[in-house]
Amino acid sequence: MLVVVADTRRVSSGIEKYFANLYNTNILLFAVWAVVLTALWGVILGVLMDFIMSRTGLDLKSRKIIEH
Amino acid sequence: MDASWLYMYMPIAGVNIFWPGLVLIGFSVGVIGGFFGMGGAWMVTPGLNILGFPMAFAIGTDIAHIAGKSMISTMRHSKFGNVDYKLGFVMLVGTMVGIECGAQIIMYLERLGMVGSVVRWVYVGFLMLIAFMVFYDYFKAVQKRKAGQVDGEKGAEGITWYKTFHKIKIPPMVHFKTAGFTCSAWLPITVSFVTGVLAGFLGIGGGLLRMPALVYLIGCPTHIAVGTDLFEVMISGLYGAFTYTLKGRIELIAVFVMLTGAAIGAQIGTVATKYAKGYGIRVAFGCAVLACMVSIILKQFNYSASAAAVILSAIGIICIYIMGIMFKGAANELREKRIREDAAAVV
Repeated sequence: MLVVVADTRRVSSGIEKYFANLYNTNILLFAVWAVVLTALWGVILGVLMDFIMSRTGLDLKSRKIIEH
Repeated sequence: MDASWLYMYMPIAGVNIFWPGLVLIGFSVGVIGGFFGMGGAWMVTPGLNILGFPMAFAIGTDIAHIAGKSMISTMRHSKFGNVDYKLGFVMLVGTMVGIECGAQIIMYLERLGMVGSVVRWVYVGFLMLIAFMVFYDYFKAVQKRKAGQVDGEKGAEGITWYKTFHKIKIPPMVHFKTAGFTCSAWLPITVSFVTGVLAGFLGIGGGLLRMPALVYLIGCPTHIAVGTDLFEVMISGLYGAFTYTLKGRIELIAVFVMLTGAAIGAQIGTVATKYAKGYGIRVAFGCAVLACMVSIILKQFNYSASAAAVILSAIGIICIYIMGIMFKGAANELREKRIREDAAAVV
């Protein structure tokens, strides 16, 4: 079986090193972090973009459904 | 000139990646996914592979990015009232069970040693069917419209299979307020189960199959189908991200970089649905499906470079088309708003 390990020797930042080590030592916790952080980053970006889009002056709360 | 700052080291995959390429892929798929209501794994995976990701990492990274991107698009669609959460939750049951059943079929085929080509040809068959359905529906609707025939509130429609399915009255009957119809709960559960089995079998998110199924089999208006499907993609994407991470096939840094581009793209794609007509979305979707089908056929005959070229060209053209709709629509809306405000100021 092929085992993949993260190369921590080339990682300098503390957070990156923590996650690279976690990938090598506790994949379950790494998977939980991956899901939580992906969802969190999605929400943060969504809220941020929402704020920016609200400044454009477009009506972003209603639309007409026209099929043709 | 030193261009090393344009490259980012990915510690898990062990490769240096051109990060603006990741942002660009995220942006393009954000635009297309937000407009069609799908994850777009078929577009991202070859793109990541071209940037230098090994295939196994490309798939896992792609699924996690799709989950986050769908979250951003769902938030925007939700504000437009395009997400029927009740329908989404009902369908989630069928989708999850279906994906597991599909994965079991794959494992059985793997034991028989015939998984690769079977999966690809089944995929091509379904894409052909979807493309045929979309274009047949469009031409039939246009003919009916010219003949002055109208099917209720939605105007002239080509395929109306959902009307037959709505006649099935097996309890419990459920009213889906946002989508605007009442049907047996078994209809969305069965449809989502079948599309889930196919998604699990084909190893895809399922948006490509679920969006047309929502329109033609369940009877959702196109805009609601797009929003509700994105909600489904978000949940199944998070589940997929978890299982792929457990297998060690994910590059978290790439996910975050791609999501940054996708956040901008998703706004453009989602807001563009406001200015697009339902049948416009359906026909563009049909073209995307055709591009996907051609690329898989090319791959099957070992023309991988041509397959990637077809996909990347399709992404570029569709992206420009959607951005055109969005910017033209937004400019018109702002112009009309200004005229209204000027008129009010004069009075």
